[in-house]
Amino acid sequence: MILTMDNVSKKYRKKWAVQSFSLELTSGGVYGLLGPNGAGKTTLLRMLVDISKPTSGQILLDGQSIEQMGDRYRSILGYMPQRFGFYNRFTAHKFLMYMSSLKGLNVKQAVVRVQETLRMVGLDKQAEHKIRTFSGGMKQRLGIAQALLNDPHILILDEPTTGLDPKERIRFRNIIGELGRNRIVLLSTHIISDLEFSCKEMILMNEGQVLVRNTPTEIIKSLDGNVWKAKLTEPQLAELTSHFKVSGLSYQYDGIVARVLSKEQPVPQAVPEPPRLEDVYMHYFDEEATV
Amino acid sequence: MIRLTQFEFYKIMMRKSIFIAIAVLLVFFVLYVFLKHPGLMDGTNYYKSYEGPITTEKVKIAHDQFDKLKYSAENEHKYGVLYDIAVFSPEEIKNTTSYDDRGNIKERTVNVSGIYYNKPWGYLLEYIDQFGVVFMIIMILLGLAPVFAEEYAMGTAALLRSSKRGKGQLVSAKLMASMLYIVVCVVLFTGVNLLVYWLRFGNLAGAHTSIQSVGMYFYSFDYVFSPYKFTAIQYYMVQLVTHLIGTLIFGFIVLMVSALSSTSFVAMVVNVAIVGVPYLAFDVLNLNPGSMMWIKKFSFSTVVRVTKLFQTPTTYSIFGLELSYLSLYTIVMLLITVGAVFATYRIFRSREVFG
Repeated sequence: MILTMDNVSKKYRKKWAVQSFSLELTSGGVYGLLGPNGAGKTTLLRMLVDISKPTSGQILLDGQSIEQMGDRYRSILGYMPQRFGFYNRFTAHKFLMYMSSLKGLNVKQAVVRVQETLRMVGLDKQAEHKIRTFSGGMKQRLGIAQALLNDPHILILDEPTTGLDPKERIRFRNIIGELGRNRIVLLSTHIISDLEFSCKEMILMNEGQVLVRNTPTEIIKSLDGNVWKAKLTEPQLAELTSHFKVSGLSYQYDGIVARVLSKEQPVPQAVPEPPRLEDVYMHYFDEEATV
Repeated sequence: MIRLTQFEFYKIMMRKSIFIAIAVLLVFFVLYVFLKHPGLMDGTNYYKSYEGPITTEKVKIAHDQFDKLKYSAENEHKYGVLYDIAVFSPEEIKNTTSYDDRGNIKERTVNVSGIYYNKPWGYLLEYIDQFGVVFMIIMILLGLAPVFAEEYAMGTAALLRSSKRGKGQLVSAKLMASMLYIVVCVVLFTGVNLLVYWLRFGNLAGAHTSIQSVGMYFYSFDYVFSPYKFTAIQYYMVQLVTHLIGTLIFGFIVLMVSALSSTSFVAMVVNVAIVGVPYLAFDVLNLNPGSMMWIKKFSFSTVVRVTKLFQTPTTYSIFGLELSYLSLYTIVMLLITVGAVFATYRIFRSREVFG
């Protein structure tokens, strides 16, 4: 299965949210879409799930336009939007049964899948609880569950880990890693630790365009020799930040340890450091990464 | 599809505002009936001796007694009989001239020359014209204005529309659930109306008398000039079906506006303007419509109220074709309904979802 974005652009009034975006995604791996807020990630995903039309270009699944495929395409799709509401009067079980019927599952299939997905996200004991009693993290997990109901071939998740605690995040990464083995999973996030372990390829995006596309290892490797660590005083740090990008700070009793991006040694006491994903984030987006 | 409709119906019915509105409206209606008519409503015995064709003798007796009789709560039934005889007496008919909206003299195409006891039907038929329209407008606005708009406001529209059935069948399910909701409301309110008046009168006498003779005590002979030959019970059914169709038409408009609106509040305000302003201006405040007469004639409240559609024998000439007001109204509403339903599908399918 190949999902192709062919020169896709989207314009809202006078602003291009996505511009000439081309990409090919194949089954068998998680793709991480990384970019700062406003990079155009959500717009791109909305076009991919057929709720927004590209201004130009086309999206194809195995060579067929997804717009023409219509409900055939949406029947193999799982989507979790970035921000979405719930029907608070519904229980988790009822909500998923409703979503199942929207996804075209018959009652028999729905009953089985609802049980499975609730168990998968750890909400099986709260199945009959009203959604209004759920915490933010529980609602997020319910959102993930609904995306998985129809056992989708293409899974598109927009900032799925927002609001999850560390334990829930680990559980989520494991689920995604497992799911990504035989389907297309596109995971949009600005939290780099979501991608660090589970991602086959990363797509770095800003201002509606692809900046880099490669495996996390290769992307990290591209910064070899460009990351330094140095212990600094407050005035030294102030001086340093005016000339270099600083991707991380650690405050210690005898000074501040800074990770600095530079092609050359930024200060005499700086020592080379192996690059990490947060350095990549700083390098491309010029802002500190959310880990 | 049935399951999806059930879920959509559940989503409409589970709103607290619906239950509160139903309770408040029903309590208000029952209190109104009991407080406005605290005494016995049944007047069968008073009418018995006068029933049948109106004779000169009956008219004379009625006039004599009517002049002497002073109205009071105790003698209201007798007063009512005499009033009815006076209204339907040949002398009164000859001396009274009524005009329609165009200033033409209204003709009685179906004449009533008898006196019959059918007061329960007068009250039953009045409900839809007065309370029925208000109750149903309130219920439709509360129940249906959020149907699509709430999905945008809550941010669920993206989830729904990205699903297999989220663009076509979901809209059908929402439309069907909305229709079901309207049917339930109409049946509930008219059912309570029927039950309350049945209990208050103790009978539903006069079911087979002509609608031209149906009126309440002392006033509201709405169908004296009606060109239609219905008995009270036949017209009650016609009125109920027309009312139901009218509420469905209004419901479709509300749904279309809901699909266009970003919040339930906006949907409600726009819909109130569409139906409420003409209703308030022309039906409640009775303002002179002037050049806005077409709005008055073809407003949505007209079909929900029903009465005006069956009141007068007005005809319109459209491209040389003579059409009764009822026929023309039906055509206009049919076109509006088809347009509204088509637009609703199109809007929800193609609207950019930002939520």
